Amino acid sequence: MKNEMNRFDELLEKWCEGTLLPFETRELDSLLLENPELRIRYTERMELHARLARLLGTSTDSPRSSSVETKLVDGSGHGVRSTQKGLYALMAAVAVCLVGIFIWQNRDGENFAARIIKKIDCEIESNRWENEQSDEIEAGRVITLSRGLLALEFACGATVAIEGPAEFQVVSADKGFLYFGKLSANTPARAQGFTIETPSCESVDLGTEFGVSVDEQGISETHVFNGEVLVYDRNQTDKSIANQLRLASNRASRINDSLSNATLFESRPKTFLRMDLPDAFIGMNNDFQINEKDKLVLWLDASKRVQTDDHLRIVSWGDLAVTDNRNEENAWQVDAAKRPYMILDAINGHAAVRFMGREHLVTEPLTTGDNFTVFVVGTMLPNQLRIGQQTPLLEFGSPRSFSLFRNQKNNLVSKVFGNWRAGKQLYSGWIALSEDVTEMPMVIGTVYNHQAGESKLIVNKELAGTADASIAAAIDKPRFIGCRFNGESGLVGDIAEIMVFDSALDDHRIDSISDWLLTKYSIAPGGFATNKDQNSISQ
Amino acid sequence: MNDETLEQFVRQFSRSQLRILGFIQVMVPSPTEAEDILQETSVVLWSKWSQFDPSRDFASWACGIARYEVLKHLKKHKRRIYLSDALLEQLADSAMTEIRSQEEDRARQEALARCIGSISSSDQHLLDERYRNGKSVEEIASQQEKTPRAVYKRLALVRDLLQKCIERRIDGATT
Repeated sequence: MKNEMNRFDELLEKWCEGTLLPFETRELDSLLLENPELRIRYTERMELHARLARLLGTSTDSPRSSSVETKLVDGSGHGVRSTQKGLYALMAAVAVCLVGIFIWQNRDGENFAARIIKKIDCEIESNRWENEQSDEIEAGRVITLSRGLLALEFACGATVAIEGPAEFQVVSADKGFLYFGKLSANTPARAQGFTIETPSCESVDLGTEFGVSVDEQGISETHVFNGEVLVYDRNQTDKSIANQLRLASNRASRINDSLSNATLFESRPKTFLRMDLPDAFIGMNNDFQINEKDKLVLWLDASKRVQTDDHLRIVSWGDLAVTDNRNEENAWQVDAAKRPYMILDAINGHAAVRFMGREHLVTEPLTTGDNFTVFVVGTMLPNQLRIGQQTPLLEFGSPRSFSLFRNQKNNLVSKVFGNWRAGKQLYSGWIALSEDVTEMPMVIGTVYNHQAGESKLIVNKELAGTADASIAAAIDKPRFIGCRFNGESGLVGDIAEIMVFDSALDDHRIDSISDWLLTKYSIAPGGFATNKDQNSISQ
Repeated sequence: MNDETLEQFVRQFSRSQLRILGFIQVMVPSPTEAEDILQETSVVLWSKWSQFDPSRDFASWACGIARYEVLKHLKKHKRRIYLSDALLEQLADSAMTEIRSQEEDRARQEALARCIGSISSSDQHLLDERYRNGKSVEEIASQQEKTPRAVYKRLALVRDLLQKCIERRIDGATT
């Protein structure tokens, strides 16, 4: 009973923290359904949690008073002159007291209207000339984005993902101005009324997800993905129904000079980059359990959480959040010309990401220690460009890096590169297969155990070779998939799944993960010979 | 509806909103989500204000409506992780029977503030890190060089201490 109570308390803490995993939710659910005493404890604890959040927290603190509400409550009677005005005042009071103050304050007490929440391979013009002191953006600031994707969160709760090249102004805590370029906006219910202005129109959100674009001629398009948006003619002061367009889900408008000439058509969500990928927990495999002690830090599966553009090329590949892997280090390609392709039946009927020699993806920065394990499921395809160069399936970090690559003989090689000394780059953990493995689907496992001084390459559950692991290879950089760290030497091949663990897994775990992946992709177990004479050359 | 009606509603709502929020958090612990649901609830409450019987307790009436708003919210966000419908129904039923009066709510909140003052400074620091600074258990564990499990255990123990302390103070005040 004591153990059950301890477990219950742990689940409850996680529930309050918002970190409960699906299987743990089911566990908590069944404990509560079966045990009336635990239900009482749950209710008490949740009340205490809410009270602590009120007392100590910043989000659920005591009722925030607005000037409107104060006027109403203190009975001064000056705040409300008519019922209609009063209703607006009420709504404002309710909205303000719940949502919070519409301008955030930083630690120095200065107001700011939005903040940067993510930069994906982006280049902000102002950064070339001034140091960005913080991620906080004051009202009125204009951002010129020459490339990449920049995500902002406004103080009202709305988030926008701006796609470079673009010029965008943070007008206030609930309004932005897109002069040129493209953005997608996501607004929770509490941020209703969030507005994006363009040179020709204003798009007022009614609780939704939508995209706005402005081309070089100033022509604006508003695309509604979900919910509703009101579009106004920016040059009209009269905002009555006659001068507005109400766009529902899947509808779009194009406005050149005035609303009266607006064109309506079906929205095209895939022409916009979006930050919010499908839920990480959807469709998780229940037939394989990742252990917490494995320290999974990255899990990409081509059948899940992939965002494609309107040419079925991959914009982003979402990290699956399970066990301790709570940070999403998604892989991205914001440059349309370098996006790999989505192939739905690449490896024995399973989806994979296809690289044709000029495409690649980059993960958000990811950290591992000196010991790590990497699994890749993939196939190297014929017609590799730039024969004679190493073309990585993936490469982590720079200048010290771990690389799993295809050499000039179409052999598979794993290797850790170290620092340069006397004109030569040090390396360790060099293990190479000795046969051409083109067109062979493989479950590749690499264990780099610097602590034990040993690295291993396992292909289709069979040990392909071992080598030393003398170089400390801890990495905290973005990870490149399908190319070298400089974006060159692109792979021709398919990658269906990548798993990275921040630990050197033991043989038993390697076997069980290999088994699971081999079964999943219908690949027969079987080893490949190693190139013994290349084995284990170290510093 | 006139200004007076509006004023009455705002008075009632502002007095009861934290109790309604507490009720919502029994089913949806995330403060942000709970606040979103409270906002939706406030709009529905205002639209139904003319049907409110002043002889009834406002908070109980409001929680009855909040309950439907919670279910609506859960249906809308099916992809997120929540407890099962059957359990939520049970929890909502028992929470409905235990809605505290405004006085009791205030007394418990004051008791909590005093009880926090009576626990050790390291436990106060733990609560500060968790609630005021919004740190995850994992971050706290890493800072304090403990395992997350040890931090979960300590937090549960601190909650036990606080719960008992609140009950003692409330019982002491009423006897």
